[in-house]
Amino acid sequence: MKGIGRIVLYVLLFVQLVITGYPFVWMTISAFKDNKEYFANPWGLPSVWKFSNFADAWNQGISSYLFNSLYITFFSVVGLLLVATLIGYYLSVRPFRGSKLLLGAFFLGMLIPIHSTLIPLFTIANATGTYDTFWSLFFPYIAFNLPIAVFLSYNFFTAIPKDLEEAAVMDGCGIYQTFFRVYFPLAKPILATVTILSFFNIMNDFVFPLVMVSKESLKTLPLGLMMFKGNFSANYSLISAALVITTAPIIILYTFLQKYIQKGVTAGAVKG
Amino acid sequence: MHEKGLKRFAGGMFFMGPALLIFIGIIIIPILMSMYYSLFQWDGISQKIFTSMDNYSRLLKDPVLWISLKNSVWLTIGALIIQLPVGLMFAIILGYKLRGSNFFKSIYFTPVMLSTAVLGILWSQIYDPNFGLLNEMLNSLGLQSWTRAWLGEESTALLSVIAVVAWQYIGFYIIVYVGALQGISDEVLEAARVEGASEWRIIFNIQIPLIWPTITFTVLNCVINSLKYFDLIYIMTGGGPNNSSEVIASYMMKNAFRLMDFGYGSTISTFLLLFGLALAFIISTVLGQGNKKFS
Repeated sequence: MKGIGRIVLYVLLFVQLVITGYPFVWMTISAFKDNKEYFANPWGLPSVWKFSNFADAWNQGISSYLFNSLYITFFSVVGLLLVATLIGYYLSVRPFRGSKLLLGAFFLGMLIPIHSTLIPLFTIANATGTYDTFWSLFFPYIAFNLPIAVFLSYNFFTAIPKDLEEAAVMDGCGIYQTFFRVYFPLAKPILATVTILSFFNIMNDFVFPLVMVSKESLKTLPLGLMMFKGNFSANYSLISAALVITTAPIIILYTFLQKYIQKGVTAGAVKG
Repeated sequence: MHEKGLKRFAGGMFFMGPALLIFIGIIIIPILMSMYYSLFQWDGISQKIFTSMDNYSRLLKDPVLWISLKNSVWLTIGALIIQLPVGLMFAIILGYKLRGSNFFKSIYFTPVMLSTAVLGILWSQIYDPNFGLLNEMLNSLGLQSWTRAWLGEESTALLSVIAVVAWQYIGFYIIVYVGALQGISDEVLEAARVEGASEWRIIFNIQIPLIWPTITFTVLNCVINSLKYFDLIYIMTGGGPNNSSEVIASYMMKNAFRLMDFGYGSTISTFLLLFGLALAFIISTVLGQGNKKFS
């Protein structure tokens, strides 16, 4: 690519860069402004850099929403990894009549809109007393990430040569030991992919907390941010600071794990 | 070496039980329950009243449902004609490995990782009629007549949300297509260039046909996700003004959890499910033909 063509391509790349990146730059600069200046001077740098916005946002609820998000996401991802690799492994080493059909059902599960299940999940949660508990988020998070996780782990285990299992059996391993001692540790790459994919899905989910939760100690960041925005609706620079606080950890994580995150987040759209 | 009898049963339960229980309990049974609820008049608290297909005839006559359906279709079309072509274009451009390509690619992907709450709040600020960046920009360019309450006017509310959805997901499709294009060996492209093929011919006769299976899958992915789209509509416009940005999922949520009409809400969600499945089936059949043509 030379000459004019090259310049055109750079212009396109640059325009897209500004469109994608500038809102974040603006958000970050706004977060350092005092609220009056936010309105008076939307483009420029702050005349006085106001760091206290961050401390205020952090103390007014963002810290606890972040903590809620992290622990709920952590346990849901761990549960998902275990549940998905167990069945993925079994279906690949002990196929039975109907196991393909079962995989097909999981595949179909990817097409199910979450919203088609929300009313019954709400009534079930009320009937079983799990409304407004950890479990009303934990189980749906596993369920809705299960199809892709089962698919990825099934494909991974199926690609491992059968000799490995035979060797493990020769050494006296039963099916349980073969899984926990041999296959599960081998599955690190697929565990990483599923972890990243489901981490973002769960961390960013907005719908389940909206429907299943009302107490503060279960509100995760997306819902929490909406509450925060409602409470401080006129204080735009404080809201910007809250957005920066919730975005920054993701961006920092991303600078270190870029390749893995790009691969993980798009995993659902690559394998057909 | 395979287990027999009771041992085999126990193994099956141990390995498959948890996944099956969760999948059936959280997805399959609720879908069936939702279909069941759709036959009742029910507010979630008092006694259910069996009304047979009444909710469905109400659905067919409900003007807001048709607005929502139309808006969902627009949102889907908007996603298809913006996100995928723009994503593909940038993936091809990044394929030339110009200096800085990796940096551009990293930035493009950033919004994909963030929650819709963050993006919805951020863009509501940008669209703000009085202090928003967009109107400020138009003012400073001397285009005062173009400024408006982007999310508050019927003519622009839905379009404004569609723009943000596209803004978020273009980076997703860039990464997907970059990955697919990397699967094409450089030798093929070099050979075509040596033969004197123009870059346009290379794109349309080599690159696009070779990644057609990926394109098929992204179309399906994009339609499925757009059809059930909810988050930014709820966060940025709440379906308004005057239902002008209502989509199927937001209308279902409004009926179920604001108006507490569980029966009718279930009818809408059943409709959403069946419509989505039917469309997914049609698309995969039609695009499957494309796969045959290219392979």
